[in-house]
Amino acid sequence: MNCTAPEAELVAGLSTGTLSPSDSEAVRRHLADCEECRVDAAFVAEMAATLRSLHLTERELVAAAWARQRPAHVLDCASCREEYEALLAVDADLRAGQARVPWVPVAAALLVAVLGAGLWKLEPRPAVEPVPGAEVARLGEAERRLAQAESRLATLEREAVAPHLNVPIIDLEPNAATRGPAAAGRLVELAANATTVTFVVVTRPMPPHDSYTLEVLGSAAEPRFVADGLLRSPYDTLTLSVPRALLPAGEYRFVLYGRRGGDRERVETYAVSVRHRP
Amino acid sequence: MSTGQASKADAELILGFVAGERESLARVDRWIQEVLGNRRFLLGADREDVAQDVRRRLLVSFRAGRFEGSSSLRTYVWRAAQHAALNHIRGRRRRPTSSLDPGWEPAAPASDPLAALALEERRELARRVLAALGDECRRLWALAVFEELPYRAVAQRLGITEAAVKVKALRCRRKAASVYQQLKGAPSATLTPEQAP
Repeated sequence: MNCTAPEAELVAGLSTGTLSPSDSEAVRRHLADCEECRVDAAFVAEMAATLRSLHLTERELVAAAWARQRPAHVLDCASCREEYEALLAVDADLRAGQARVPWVPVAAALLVAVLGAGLWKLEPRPAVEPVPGAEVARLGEAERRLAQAESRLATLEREAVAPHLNVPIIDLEPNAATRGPAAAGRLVELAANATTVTFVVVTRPMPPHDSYTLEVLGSAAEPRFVADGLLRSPYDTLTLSVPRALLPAGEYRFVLYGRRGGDRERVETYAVSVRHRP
Repeated sequence: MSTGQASKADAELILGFVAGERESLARVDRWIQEVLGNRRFLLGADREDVAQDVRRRLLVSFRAGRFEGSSSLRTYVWRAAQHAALNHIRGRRRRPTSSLDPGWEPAAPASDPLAALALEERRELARRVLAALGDECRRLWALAVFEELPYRAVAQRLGITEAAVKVKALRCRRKAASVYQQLKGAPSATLTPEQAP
């Protein structure tokens, strides 16, 4: 390193983000003219990135706290240490909560058991031992659900290889861009034999994101499904086709998120009402 | 959905959650709130946003059949919530983690072994560079590189002037650069602190 300019000493600070704004500006101006310092800056950036690879991922931190294993890196990195200790404390609270005996329900259950036993003694004994009804009902319910799920799966498989008829194509405008009754939700009416609906999701013009995700929430804000990996066209639209089975009649909120680098931000919200025509 | 190993109760709860049944949603939500409501996370007004993120992760995970029942469903939900809370806290600190941490579930041993190996090699290099630095440089690098603090804040933490921090930073950078280059050139060599320049 032969550059003797005073800014050369600050090149490392630029790569690690430790400089004040005025120093950063001075170093940037210097780098524009100094090839040697540019090479040095790239090297320091690579080295800093290598050191930062020691940062524990969220998955590693959660697993380490769960296993009560203190990773070596938390000795060097104060923020990782803070995170690890917070997770440890949360884990301890969760385990304590799980281990705590829920006295009120236990006492209630004991009381019911004692009273039940007393009444049972007073009642004449049935000739045949009664079938455990609650267990039978529970198994029956589970079987019914399984049969429903299998039937739904078979329908979806049939629909997947058949032509789709009467497909509504719905333009969704952002809620903020609508006024009056339209803001109550875009009405989607599905004919009895319509198996899918295609949405053309319109966004306001804005700098593009790398990719988009549409989350569809039900009337109680419960998640219904997620469409990940949407791309925006040059006309500020995104498209997706949704099977009828995912959209039972009801009110929905479609929330569009954009991802840029590691950041995820809400882009638009759309209200949708779905009706199924008999 | 593959819930073969999951208990029957957990499998039923997952079916209910995916189908949007109110009772199942409420039960899972209670577990999510057990984590997010912990004062250690200080989520404040962001708590509902994070909870929504957890519900979304769980829905995607359940639909893809990724809950295999190696732990109870409650533990699984807790971990998802802890992961989302941590992700949110890191987002507030502006520390990029997404490139390092693509998923939140425990990785299967065979999932992308090459990437895992590359990361481990890189970390080994970083550990050896740090081990070769003295305590003073190590402390300074921890503040500047791991904490990403500006020189002024580093100076306050170390109780010295900003100018002194800049001088030390330059000296430590040269030392680290030399060690780093040597180790990169000879990956099998072990450089002790005494050997460092």
